[in-house]
Amino acid sequence: MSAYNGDMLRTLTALLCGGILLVAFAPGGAFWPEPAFAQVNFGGASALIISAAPAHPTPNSTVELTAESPLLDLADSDIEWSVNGKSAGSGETIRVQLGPLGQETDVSVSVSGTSGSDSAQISLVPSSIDLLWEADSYVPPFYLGRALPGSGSMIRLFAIPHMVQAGSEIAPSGLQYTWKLNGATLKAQSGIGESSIVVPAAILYGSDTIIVDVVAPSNGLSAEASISIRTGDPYLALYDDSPLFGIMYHQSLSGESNADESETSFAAVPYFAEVSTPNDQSLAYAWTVNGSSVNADPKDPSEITIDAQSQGVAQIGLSLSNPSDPFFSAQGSWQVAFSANAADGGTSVFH
Amino acid sequence: MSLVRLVLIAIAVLALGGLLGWYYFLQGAQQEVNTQDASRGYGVQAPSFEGSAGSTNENVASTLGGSAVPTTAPTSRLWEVSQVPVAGFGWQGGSVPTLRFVERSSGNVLQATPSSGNVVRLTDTLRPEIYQASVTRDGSVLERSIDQNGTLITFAGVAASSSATTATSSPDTLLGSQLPQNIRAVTTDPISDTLYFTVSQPSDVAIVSTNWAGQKEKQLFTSAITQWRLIADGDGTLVLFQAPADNVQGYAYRLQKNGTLLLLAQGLGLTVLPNASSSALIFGTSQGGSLSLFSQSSSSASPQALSIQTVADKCAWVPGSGSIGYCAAPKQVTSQQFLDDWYQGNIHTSDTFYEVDASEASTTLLYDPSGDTNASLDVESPSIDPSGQYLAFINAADQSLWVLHITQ
Repeated sequence: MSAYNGDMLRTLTALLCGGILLVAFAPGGAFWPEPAFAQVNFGGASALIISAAPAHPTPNSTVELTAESPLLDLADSDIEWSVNGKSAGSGETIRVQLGPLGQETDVSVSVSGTSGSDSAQISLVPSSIDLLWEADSYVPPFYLGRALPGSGSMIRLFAIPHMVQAGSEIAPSGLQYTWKLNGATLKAQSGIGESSIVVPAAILYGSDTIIVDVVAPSNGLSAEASISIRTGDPYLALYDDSPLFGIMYHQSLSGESNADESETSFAAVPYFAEVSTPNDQSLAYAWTVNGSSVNADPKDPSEITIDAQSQGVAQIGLSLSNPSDPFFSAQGSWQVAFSANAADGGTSVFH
Repeated sequence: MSLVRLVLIAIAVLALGGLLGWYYFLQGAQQEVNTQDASRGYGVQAPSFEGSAGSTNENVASTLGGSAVPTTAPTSRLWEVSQVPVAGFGWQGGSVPTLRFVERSSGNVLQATPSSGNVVRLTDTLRPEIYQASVTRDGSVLERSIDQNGTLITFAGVAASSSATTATSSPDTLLGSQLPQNIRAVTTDPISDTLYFTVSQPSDVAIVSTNWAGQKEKQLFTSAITQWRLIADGDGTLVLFQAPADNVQGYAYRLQKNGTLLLLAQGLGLTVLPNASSSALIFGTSQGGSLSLFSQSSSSASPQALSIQTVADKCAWVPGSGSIGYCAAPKQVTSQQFLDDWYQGNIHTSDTFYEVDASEASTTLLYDPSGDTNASLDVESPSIDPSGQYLAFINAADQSLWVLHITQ
């Protein structure tokens, strides 16, 4: 089958170089080392190398296959491809459309020329991983959005692999997970069934890249997913705390707002701060009203009550810091016009 | 002897005098207490509701000297059921479409009949500051609030009698039980007696189902991800998707009976709306300041982009229809991070209603409310009655409750 059967070919290597999977086939089917990405199965002895990009093809994706050989002069050879037994073109590279999750696509390539002839086969089995994440930062009760990472946050990641064997998905608990943070393997958090990890968020404005490799020990199927997560600023919002309705989370105060009552309480919400409650002891609230410092209730420092006595405008300022975290900082400023009946213009804080 | 008698008489007089003085002292003190109590408001009758419905809406309207339903023309297809914030609502079964809703301020349940414009208060059990509520088709009520310690309280109840349908009927007590504290996400099956909610555990979160009393708990799924949003659309299954954020990958799944997850959709800033009658799906994405809406006629079909820019949170399927729904779409999206800003109450939209046909991936203008009301309607939690005649929604700008007559 091969013009170069010999000891030097009695190896099989699976090399990942820049996202390209390189696979060589050994005579007699023996191979070493264990293939790292077993969605490529080996069909026999060959001097040919078939590289696949991407290395971990996903369902219904297109994969680019390239024939390579350290021994054959491919540029001076005839190269013919077939997919699932049907002719699929010629040349060193072809593109193959894969099927749904778990559907095997068999590809073979044959080379003939003055430097020799050879052939190789691979089987592509698309798999995928859903890589879910969230931060443990603060969002208020009933908030419908995602908590995003801020300074000091922890990030939870959860991998849901989809790998099919004999027509059904392999149970996630039996798979081998290898987690990498910015290229470094997290050995302590990797292993069989280790489908989730918790990692600290990057420093402010930085980002972390997390990769998870999943391998099915039973048949060598593998998949990979990665995500880059950026750490951002906390966001400070101010809401009316109505004695009748509670905190009006649906309507934050804009730069200019109106209040229907002369005495109104306001609640600050530090979105994405690394606390479990706005009144966390680690946060330092510095309130000002019309430029003067105002002391809030020590038990409830995220709220202030302003009794305007009569009509007037209050310029509310708030600076939020965390003495133990120099990267944590948030500021806000709001102008509120107090009147018996909200005047036109601006946004009424009572809705 | 006479001296002894005189002494005894003197003692008796002094004793009587002392008792008399003590009596007047106590009476004076009681008057002072009564005066102080009166000044504190004790003993004063609780203010009665002003309107026939006995709603905070009518109370506020009468106090402010306005009308309870002043904002739309009589011929309008719109009805503002409650001007004051409501916590949630649900359509009822029966031949005449009726809507039950929960007042945010009192936790009272009221019933509105769109065909007559009639509103009746059903319960008088005070549960103040209800932030979130839902009402199932059989009248069961879920009310959620926050206690003074910041603990999330979830109450599952039913009106003692759900027969109050006239203004003269006496409101009932809302009876029920408190579910576990700090439930982060909860949903009610609109048809069956089933609750689905998350239970925080030391290292993960469990999604469980219970009956309305919080009993017969069954653990369905556990995950390290805690910020799920749950949708039980009435077909006995549960859809869960990650809490969305702009430009952040999200995943939506249907939880299958064997505990595994079937991927429904994925995308940046993902919002989804499953269909109870079919495997059709509406989902939206928010990426780079742009909103996109997609429909999928079945689980095996490819998603098709729709011509309107909105989020699935603003859509509702017509009950019993496998492919027809209605969506509200903002006339203008100004924010580069719409979802985050919208959920945080930083922005509000002015919406137009469209009919969506998932089988054709088409949209048709249904109704522009600007001709009937000056209010900007930022549609939230839309829901269509079982007969398909009315669409109820909350205006996210002020949490008021509205009903749109779909058919003209």
